Amino acid sequence: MLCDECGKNEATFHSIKKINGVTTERHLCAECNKKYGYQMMKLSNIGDLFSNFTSMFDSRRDTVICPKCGTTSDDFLETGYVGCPECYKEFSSIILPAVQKMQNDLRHVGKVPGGVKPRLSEIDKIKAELQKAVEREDYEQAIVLTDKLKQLEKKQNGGAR
Amino acid sequence: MDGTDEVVISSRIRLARNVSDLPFPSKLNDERASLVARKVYDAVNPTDNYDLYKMSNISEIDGNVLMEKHLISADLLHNNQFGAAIINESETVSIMINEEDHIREQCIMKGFRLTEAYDKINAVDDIISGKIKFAFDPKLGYLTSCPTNLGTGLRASVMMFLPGLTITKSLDSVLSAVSRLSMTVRGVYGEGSDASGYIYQVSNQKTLGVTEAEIIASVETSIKHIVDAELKSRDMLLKSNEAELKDEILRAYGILSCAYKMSCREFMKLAALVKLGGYYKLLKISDRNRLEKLITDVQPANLISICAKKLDADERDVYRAEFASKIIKNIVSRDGVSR
Repeated sequence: MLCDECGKNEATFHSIKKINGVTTERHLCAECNKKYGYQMMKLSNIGDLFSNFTSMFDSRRDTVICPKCGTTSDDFLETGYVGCPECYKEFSSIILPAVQKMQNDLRHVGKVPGGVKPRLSEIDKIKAELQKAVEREDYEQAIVLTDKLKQLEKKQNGGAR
Repeated sequence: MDGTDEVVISSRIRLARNVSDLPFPSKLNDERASLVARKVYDAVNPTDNYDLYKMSNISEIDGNVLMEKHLISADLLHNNQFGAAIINESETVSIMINEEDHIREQCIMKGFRLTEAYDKINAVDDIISGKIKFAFDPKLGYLTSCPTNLGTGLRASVMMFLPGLTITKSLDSVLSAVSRLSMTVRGVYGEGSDASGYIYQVSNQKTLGVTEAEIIASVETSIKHIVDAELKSRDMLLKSNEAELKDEILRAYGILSCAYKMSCREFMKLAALVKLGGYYKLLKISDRNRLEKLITDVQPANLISICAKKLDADERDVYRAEFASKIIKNIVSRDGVSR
């Protein structure tokens, strides 16, 4: 399993936490674990989420300006809004981790324009099992399922797309 | 009937969509913004009878009427000169243009009918996507102005009447039980006070990494849980203070039937008690939909629109009492008295 943060190294630090009923998983490599450790965000307060995020990036952040609409990465961190579809590419290094924290996910599995059916029944099933395992606090099973899920996702992303 | 109808008022599905290659509405201040409304209108109009309302030239009353009916948001009404709404005749479909996103397609249905509402708005979405290329990323799904809507862009929300949980102060504990499904809850007419009519909206928070069907299923699960808890607390409420509660309900019915002058605030409180009286079979409500519609009808702008003439605040309160009393007498009566 690859590290959630850098996506390059093998993840060796795994955590699944349940706080106030919200479950969060983190899989980090040794290096990223040192850098980020475990950060718990409350899903309910977006404002906090972004301000937490700002402070996290303060030390190593350069302002990026979207060439298409003129929105800056600072605007996004301040308001939580982007200016155009292109911003998602321009600020991806800032937005994607924020999205991951907000949505606990980074991969769309729903409707695709043009009526193509959503693809992922097997992945959906494993996700549901994983949720149940986490709810009954069966972390061993949860880790097995997480591995299975990652493998399937890898296969899918490497496949015909 | 399992009691769901006593608690769930209406179901709504909203899909957030944007036009590819255009800045989002907050960054779009030229003619291209008004073209969006025209394009969407031309796409959907042949399929149903739709009206196009431009926020730049809608009257204050008409705009507020739509807002009080929950067909448009305050943001749309006040914040964008290119804002528009495209609404079908039966007022089940409302498409907001240039609110936070270019296109917000919504279907609203009475009762607990999320799947039906989704099927309807999904068909509308297919029609629009046949004419407009949406901003879409294979990984992140539908791209939206705020990342909280990424992926499906789907918000499934259910309007609920929760007097039992509110009065017994057990709303918080029930909500924390459903919070692991990441639902949010807000008061529809303000928070907590009895003037809120105990009406809340429960909706999903997560939009990415889940399918439309999964979102709807998780909202349904939460709603069923809240309905059960609400019905239990209504029973508890009655047991703990039966005579007081019955007296309060019947007094509310009396005032609603006979008062000369009534503020909106007072109406909301009394109407909630009358609805509760229907649940306890203390009152017989022959037409529940009419009672729900009355709650919208007596809001300030709707009332003026029904009366069809200008009313100052005092006149409005007199007209509200008269109008409400007529309807209440028509659809509510004392039931076989259970003492």
